[in-house]
Amino acid sequence: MSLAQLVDLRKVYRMGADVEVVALRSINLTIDEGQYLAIMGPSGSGKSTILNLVGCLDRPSGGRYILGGQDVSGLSDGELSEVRGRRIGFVFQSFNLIPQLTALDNIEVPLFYQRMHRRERRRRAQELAERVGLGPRARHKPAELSGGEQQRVAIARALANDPLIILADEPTGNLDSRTGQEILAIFDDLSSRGRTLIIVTHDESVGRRTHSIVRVADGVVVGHEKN
Amino acid sequence: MLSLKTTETLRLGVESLLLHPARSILTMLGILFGVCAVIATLSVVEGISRKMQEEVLKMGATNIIVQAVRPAESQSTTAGSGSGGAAIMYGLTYEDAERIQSSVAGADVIVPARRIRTTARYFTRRTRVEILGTVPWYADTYRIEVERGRWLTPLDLHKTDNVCVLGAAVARDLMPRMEPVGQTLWLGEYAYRVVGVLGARGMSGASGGLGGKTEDFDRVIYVPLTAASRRFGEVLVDRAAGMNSFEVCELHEITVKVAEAEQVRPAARIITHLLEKFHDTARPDWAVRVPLERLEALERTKWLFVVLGASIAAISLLVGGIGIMNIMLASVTERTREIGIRRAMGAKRKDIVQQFLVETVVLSTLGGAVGVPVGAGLATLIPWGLTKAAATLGVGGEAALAGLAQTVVTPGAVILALGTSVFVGVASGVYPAYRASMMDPIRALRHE
Repeated sequence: MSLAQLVDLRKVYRMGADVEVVALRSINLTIDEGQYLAIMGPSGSGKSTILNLVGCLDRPSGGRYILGGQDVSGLSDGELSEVRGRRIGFVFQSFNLIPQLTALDNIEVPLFYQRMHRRERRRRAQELAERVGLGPRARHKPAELSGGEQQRVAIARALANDPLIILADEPTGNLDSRTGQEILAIFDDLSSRGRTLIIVTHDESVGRRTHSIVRVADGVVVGHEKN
Repeated sequence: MLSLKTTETLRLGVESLLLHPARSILTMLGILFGVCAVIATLSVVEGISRKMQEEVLKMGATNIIVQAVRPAESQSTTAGSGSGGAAIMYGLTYEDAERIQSSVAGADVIVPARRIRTTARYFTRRTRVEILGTVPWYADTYRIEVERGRWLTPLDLHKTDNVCVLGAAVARDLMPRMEPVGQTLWLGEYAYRVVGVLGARGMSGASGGLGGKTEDFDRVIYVPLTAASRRFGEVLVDRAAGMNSFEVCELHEITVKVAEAEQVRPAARIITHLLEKFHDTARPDWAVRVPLERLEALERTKWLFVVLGASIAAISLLVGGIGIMNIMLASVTERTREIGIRRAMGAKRKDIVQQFLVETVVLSTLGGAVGVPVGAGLATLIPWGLTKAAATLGVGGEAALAGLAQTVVTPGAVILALGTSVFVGVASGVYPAYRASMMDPIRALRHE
């Protein structure tokens, strides 16, 4: 069953009065439930734009995006926030943890905006910290954690609201190869448990671990490989 | 659900303020000083105004006081007392009192009085006093309270008895540590029996106006008007001047009490007309004083000061608000990344607005909450400092300063100050919070 559908999706950025930059020409892509997908392409190919649109951080200039049976391409800013909070989990290259909060507090952030009760939030955050193997480090602030540990916190945070899709943007880009492998092992594990994952990367070795690779160039999908 | 979220947002705000304690405190100071100024000014103004109101009320809000005024020029009508110096004849007469009595409708009580300055003596003790010859109903008109013994009676008036009631200070000076009632003291060359002693009333700063003549209610000896007229006569000798001068004055004061405050003005007009008719208008020897009008003038003056204080406070609060806004704008820029993260995690624009607004409101409310007691403390220090300064400089007008001695922090002032600080918090936080909420999440996430 398709979880997300991108139909003739376009994105044009307006730079100034009459300069337009076409980021995405026409993207057609179907993401099935439980799929483990890599989006690959050179920088400037539009892969980050796809990620932003799939993650509901941005609205398309044209076409349709259907997520979990709902057309989200025309939603308001507030409605998009709601969708992000409930259905999307983000993992970033630079971790993007809030520096003044502890690891547990960071994991709680998405739950906070879903109005979950404090005690319940704490319980869930602890459970997630255990699952990503954070252990006693969960009470530390990001600055006191290693890169790998920080990315584990980010993954736990992405899982917090039990999202439909987890989007990872170069999740190993800021990590040494050994730590990168550990993080990817967590993704593999999540996939084997039925999670839907999309990883944007230009690292072939990362791409090969997934079920399939979508290759993007100049704002269009140029290839679809099954691993 | 909402309240749960509000408390959480509040906690978030406080935590983030605690991350930069020095910055938060410095930001808070602006509001603190503003609120301090509001509270200090309002309580000092309120204190002065209450004190003055008290003074005016002592004179009675429904009273009209007609006083004899000694004309400025000395070569007035000479009367036949002629033993050397010129005698001045001026002032109010018993006829005036009768005319007022019969002409002013609704005039409840007419109280004629004579004032004579002299020395009172009790064995070896002496003190300067003012003898007030008056009628028994003076006590009701001026709300006089007898502490020990009794007040003057109609019988005293009728019999022209040499009895007197002492003001608190007179009793203290002449007969310390003993019961004055029943004692006999000397007023000039006449012996008077003390029948009563009054409670302390204090100075009247308002009766003479600020900087004007003040009246000390406690240094007065009250005697029956009839006794005063007979024993001291209508001729008064003033030996203070180089040559002996005499003045002739039947009544120094007539107090007219009306039933209602609305009757005060019309009655005062009639009295003025009446006196203009029978006295020399070229050289008026009388004056009409209306305490009620002073009360109203006082109210206007009070508002003037309140507005003045409010303007100073407003400027201070404005500066404080700009300070908060400035810091918040910097903070928003500094936390761009955090805003991006929160937005990606499902925070709506209004969540972001709330988050930053809470911080500014907490800051300013805290500033206000600290500012109120500090302002109240300052308010008590101001009069203390002023009295000190006046004492060291040797400046007089203690009565005027006495009004400063009490400062009153009213609940209204506290509510106003706190309300204003919350308002400043919201007003100064709205723009930075709006800026934060309008950030594009994608750009915010990439912000370095």
